[in-house]
Amino acid sequence: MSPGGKTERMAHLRSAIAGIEAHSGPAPARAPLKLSMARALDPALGGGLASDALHEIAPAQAGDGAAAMGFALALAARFAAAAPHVSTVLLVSEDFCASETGAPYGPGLAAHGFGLRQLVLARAPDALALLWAMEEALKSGALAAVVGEMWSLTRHYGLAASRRLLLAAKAGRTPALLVHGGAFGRADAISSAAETRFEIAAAASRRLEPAGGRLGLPGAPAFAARLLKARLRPCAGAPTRSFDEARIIRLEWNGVERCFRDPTISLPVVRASADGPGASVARG
Amino acid sequence: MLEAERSQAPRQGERRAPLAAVAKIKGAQKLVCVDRLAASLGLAPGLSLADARARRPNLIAVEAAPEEERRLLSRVADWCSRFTPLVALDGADGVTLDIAGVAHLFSGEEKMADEIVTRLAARGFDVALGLADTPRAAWALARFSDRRIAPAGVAGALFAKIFHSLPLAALGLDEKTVADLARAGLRRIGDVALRPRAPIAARFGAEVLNRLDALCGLERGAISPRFAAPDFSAERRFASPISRREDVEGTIARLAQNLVILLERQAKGARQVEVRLFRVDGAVRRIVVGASRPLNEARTIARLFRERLDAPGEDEFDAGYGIDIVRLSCLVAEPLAPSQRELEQVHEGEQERHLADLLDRLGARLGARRVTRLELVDTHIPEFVVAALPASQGRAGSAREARSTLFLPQAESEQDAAPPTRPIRLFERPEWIEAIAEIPDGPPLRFKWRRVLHEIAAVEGPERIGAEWWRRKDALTRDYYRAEDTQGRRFWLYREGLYGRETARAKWFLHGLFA
Repeated sequence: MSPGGKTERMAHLRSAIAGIEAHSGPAPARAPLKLSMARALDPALGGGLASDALHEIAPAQAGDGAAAMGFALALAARFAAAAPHVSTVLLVSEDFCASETGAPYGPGLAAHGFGLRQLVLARAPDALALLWAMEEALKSGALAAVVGEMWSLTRHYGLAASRRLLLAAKAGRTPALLVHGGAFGRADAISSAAETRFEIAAAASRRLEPAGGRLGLPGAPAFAARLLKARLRPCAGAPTRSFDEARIIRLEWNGVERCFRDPTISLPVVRASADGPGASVARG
Repeated sequence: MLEAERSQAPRQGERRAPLAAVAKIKGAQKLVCVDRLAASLGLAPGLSLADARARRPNLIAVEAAPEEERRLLSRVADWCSRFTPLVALDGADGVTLDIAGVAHLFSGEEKMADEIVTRLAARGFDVALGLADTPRAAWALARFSDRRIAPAGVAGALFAKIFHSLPLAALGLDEKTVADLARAGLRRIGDVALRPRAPIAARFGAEVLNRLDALCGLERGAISPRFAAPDFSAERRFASPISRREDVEGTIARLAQNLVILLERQAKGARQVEVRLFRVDGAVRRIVVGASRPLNEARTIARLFRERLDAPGEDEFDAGYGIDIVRLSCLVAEPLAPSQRELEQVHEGEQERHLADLLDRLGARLGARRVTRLELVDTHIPEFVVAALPASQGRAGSAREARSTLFLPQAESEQDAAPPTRPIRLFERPEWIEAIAEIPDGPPLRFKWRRVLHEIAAVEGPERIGAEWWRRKDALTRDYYRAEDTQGRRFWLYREGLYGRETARAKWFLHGLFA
């Protein structure tokens, strides 16, 4: 059973009740449902990620786009696993993302924790169409999660646009995950109404035993996450200092059980040095 | 049935010189089409240009443009669909309208014919029109008779009077048969119609009599319309044209209500709906939207069109000088699924409906090809393993189905946490990289992609994927490697071609990115 299994089941039951109540009468306003993500991450988030809010994910460097997308998809897979009545996940990408970093690939997404029938992929010609599609999808409330992939951090995205997404997410009780594929290294500079913001870098995976070669085999997807923003921190009032911008949390994703594996073996987190090859691309 | 023939030259009022279109036929410039003035001066199609010039030095000759003519003709045909849904192109220069059961809407055949002629004349077309019981008779009237209309159910003496004097070419026979008949002294339709049938059939072929039967209505002749007549349709005509988008949207919404009433009588829902906007300048805009479930709510149908009119690009709303007819038709209707009763099912069915509506809206705005679901394909070439099908096309799988048909995770659940073997992103075109391997057929040590050097820290492979030699002969085998560089980024690389057997210098490509 996954580590977050208990909370997940609780969440499932809660929304099952909500579903029944929705049909039998008006339900009293409730606190937003929070879904536990990983033991290392939850305290900083105040218990988990809200399932009716906007979360932003940005890559740390130019080469971390796939890691950022992988992290967003992992969150979406967790939301989808916990959603009671709906299981479809919409993945909207700006056209430019597909040509720049490759198009979402079905078999890989399946191994990442989605059923093929569960996914709907959409391509938006530009950022405006992307935001429109996300808002429309969030409002409908028919999806377990909406993942958007935006390349250009242009004038179209800011406080107003993100606020619209947030309200749509609240209206449809659907989590919105927005990946800023092109905003590597500029995650601090984004100003938006998002509830949380992560900066994701690729992390070295736990190596598997080599079959005979000199090098080990790459293991499960691993991320080095940095939580830059968490608007709703623990409301209980306890002055926890678990939220720390500089702290890097290493997470490993298990696509089969659809949960983050908590770092039992602590490995040194690999962070790119400032003069690494990735930096040269950012400059060049 | 009604036949309208287009003359070659629009706007001929301003000209006083004969006009003819010429084309090169068997090495000589010949007239293929002449205007009315030229015809009255004795010029006819088939004449060589030199002869025509000699007779009428002021003749204006233009190059025939069959492609353009065909486009123009299909625009005219689209325009004609304001009179009846059944419109067919007739050869290169005619349009056939099936006006059965329509004429009374235009206060009779005579008035309708007048309206067509005047409206087309206003657009610069000189029309030869024929209206009769059968397509063939209408065709004959339009092209070979001064008379415009043959009254319905005409037979006996009147029929003979109208048709028997027409030349045999009016039967639409090929030139050789007409020439053969002429050699036997048969020149008019009456000559054939009044003779015993058997000898004619024996000597000139059964086709002559078939055509004659089609003319008389003894044989059923049908036209093949450009668009099938919709089963359900609602339209609204405006005395003064509308041009604001809000008005058009409002009209569509009201028409949708009428359409839904029609559909409801048969307990059906619309899967494909079309709007036709007839502009006063003659252009016809056709917008088709599809739905992933049978729709029977006017609001939902109207909303789909609103998205389409909103979307930028080719479908952007352009009323021109105004729109005078809006027609909404249901092209494909399906029986509505019986509504489910159980409490839980109601809930799930509702979600499904919401999802289907959402996908339709996204498809209407972004384009149906941009909103896709994935289907597995029977191949092992990585880029073709999944096909993206329009999400609104197939029926969306129910939530339960979707949960049960997981692709890989279940198959792998025994081996705990085996890392994924396929990347989450795949480049549409594999990107060429410079890679260095210890030995020519060994795993890569380092590679350069987009001018950045990646040092490989962990690697798994090769996974050999052979080319489909039964489809393409020249394709090479690929050896795929899952590689992780020193910064923790994971890549999917392949070497194309087996070293020593297929190629001496294998090329490396980067095909995908892992999370």
